[in-house]
Amino acid sequence: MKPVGLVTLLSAIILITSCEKSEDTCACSPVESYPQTYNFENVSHSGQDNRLDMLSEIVTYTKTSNNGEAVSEATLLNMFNNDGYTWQNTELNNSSKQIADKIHPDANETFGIWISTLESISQNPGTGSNGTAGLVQSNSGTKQYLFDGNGYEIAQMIEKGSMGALAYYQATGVYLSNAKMDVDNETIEPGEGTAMQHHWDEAFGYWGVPKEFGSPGFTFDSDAEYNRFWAKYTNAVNDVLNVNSRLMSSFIKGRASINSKNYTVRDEAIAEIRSTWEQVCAAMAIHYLNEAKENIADDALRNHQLSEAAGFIYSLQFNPSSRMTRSEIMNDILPVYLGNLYEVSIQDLNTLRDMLATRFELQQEKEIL
Amino acid sequence: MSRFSELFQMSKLATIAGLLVFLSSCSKDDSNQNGKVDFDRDAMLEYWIDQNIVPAYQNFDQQLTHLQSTWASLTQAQFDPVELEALRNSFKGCYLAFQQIKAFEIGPAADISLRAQLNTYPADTALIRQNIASGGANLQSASNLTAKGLPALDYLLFSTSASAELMGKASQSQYYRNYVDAVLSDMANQWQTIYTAWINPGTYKSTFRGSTGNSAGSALSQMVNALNKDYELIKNAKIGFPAGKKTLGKTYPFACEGYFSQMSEELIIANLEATHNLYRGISFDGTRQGPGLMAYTEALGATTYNGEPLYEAIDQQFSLALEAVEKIPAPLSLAVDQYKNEVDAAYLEIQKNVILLKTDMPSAMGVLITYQDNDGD
Repeated sequence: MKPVGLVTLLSAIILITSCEKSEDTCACSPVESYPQTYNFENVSHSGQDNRLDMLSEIVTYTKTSNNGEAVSEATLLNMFNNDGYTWQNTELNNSSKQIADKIHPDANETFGIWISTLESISQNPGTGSNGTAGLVQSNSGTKQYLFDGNGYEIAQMIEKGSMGALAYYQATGVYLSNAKMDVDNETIEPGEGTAMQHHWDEAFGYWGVPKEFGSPGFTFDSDAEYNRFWAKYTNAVNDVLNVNSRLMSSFIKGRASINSKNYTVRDEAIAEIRSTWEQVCAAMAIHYLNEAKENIADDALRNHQLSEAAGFIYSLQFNPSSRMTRSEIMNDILPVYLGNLYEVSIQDLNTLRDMLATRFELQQEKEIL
Repeated sequence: MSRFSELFQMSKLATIAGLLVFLSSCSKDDSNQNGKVDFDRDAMLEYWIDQNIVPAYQNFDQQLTHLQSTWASLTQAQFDPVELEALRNSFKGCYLAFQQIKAFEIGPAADISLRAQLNTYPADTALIRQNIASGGANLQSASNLTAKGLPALDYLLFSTSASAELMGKASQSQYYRNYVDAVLSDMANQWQTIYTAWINPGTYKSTFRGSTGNSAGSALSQMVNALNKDYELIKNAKIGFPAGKKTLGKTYPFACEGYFSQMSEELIIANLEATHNLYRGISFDGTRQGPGLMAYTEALGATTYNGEPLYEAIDQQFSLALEAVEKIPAPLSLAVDQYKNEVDAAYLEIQKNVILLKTDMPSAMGVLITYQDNDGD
């Protein structure tokens, strides 16, 4: 928990006083100058929406490999480049946006390897096992995944890796960077606001949440389209970390202070967003390590969950103020603790979990994530 | 909810100002739901430690030590066949004692996944033979969970072919003996962390005792979740899977727990009795009844959908499940095909308690079930 400042304490007193009046429901409303929802004028992030929609179709396509279907490298590249691919969502067919040119440069090579590996292991796959790529069923026979010879579910790596190298990177590392923030904040473009407002909204767009997300009275609808990528996983750790409203209030605070040209507060919000979003990412990694421990004796479930964990750990590097460097992640963590998912030990998983919990200040929460 | 947890942080600073008084008038933490109930949850935690967890762990520790010493005796007696029976008996004692601790997959046991380390079944007998032949297998690797622990010993000590190799005069017998050594020492290593945490010096006891309340991570929540998970494993892994409940009726006799020693029913009964006693608050030695989940459920006044006292309904259903399991003719590996009615009836009676234990009881206690359905031990 954050240290409690005097202002918070004062507002708590106000809040508590207001509580007294409504004893039954305790419908306390926080006394803040910011709106409760991301309901600002001239908000547009259609380019981000487009890319998330494309990513959805990419993920759906890659996951057909878990049913034993062949996945084509050429098709996947066309999807990533939005080059000659006909999307199911026909709106996307008129879009000039693409994912490939927005992926962090450090990730290009890795994505290329994942995509070609997925093509090669998805051709007429047999039964997978340690050292042999193929399909593996859970002990109960209800789940099936395609793994490479080290037990990695490549489709997961592509999904979680894109969440990191595309959305998380673009939001925290590009749109909230000085280059995109030290821009005009005077000229209002109809529908898009000022350049600075627009960049902020584009960062927000990559989070992928509805504008009421995390506000009092908001209920997460798991049937809604937004139940994917970062919106889904922010909500997944919300019970433990209260991140729905925390991350949202930082986005609101930043946008409101851009509107009022208060750049000190805007920069505070940027730091909060980077830190909170990073905690979501680390918390999901810990969550999947815990899940994998529970399913340690089930090759399919364990490898699937460890692939998710690895994807989130991989993603951590794309935050410009990451508490874990790319070199640590790529050299000291992934190959050391998650090199071969068939051969991990409980001790490895515990060590890794504790390391993440310490680094990302999740010691109190690591058991219940 | 979260706002209130922040408020509680603040309350530490603001106690002097007397803010706590205001806070309690508007906070909606767990004590509001159950606070008026006349039941001492802290006493229950204390009772669990002293009367259930620690004595059951002590008993397992003794059984495991006994197993190691009968193995040492057999080795000393140069594999004289008359000593094998003593080893087999100590194995059975150890396996039964394990049924009395396996529900406590919380804290230290959860940390090392004790149940998976010691009891992943069915054993992969081909992998075991491969490990024996190659020597030096890394038993820490997840890929070897099906080649170690109690199920591996079940195979090595009771399968006709494997026990003949183990007891034989041929040079390869030494490889079998080395493997039993490795499996036993792995078990002892895994066990040591639990022993340290709960018994000597037992530092985890105060952590457990201090995890009050009913939120996720509290001792109560952990215990309710652990009990349910273990209970579901009785249903799914011990009976459901061998009986074909997960495979459209195709049975898997070899997937029975204790397949080679043919003690499957005994193990089910021991596990059911252990969870029943834990629920009822019966001490490990069976001499007393104290504050347990049953007494708490009674104090909460919870009822079933048709208005009966929930605490009684769960208790009765445990008894019905036990009776039904006792009617299955041993061994279970044959019964899954030859006595389908008896097996189905037992499965059904066990299943009937799931909704009471997993939905009704936790909801009365304000405890969330946080684990996901699992496939097996």
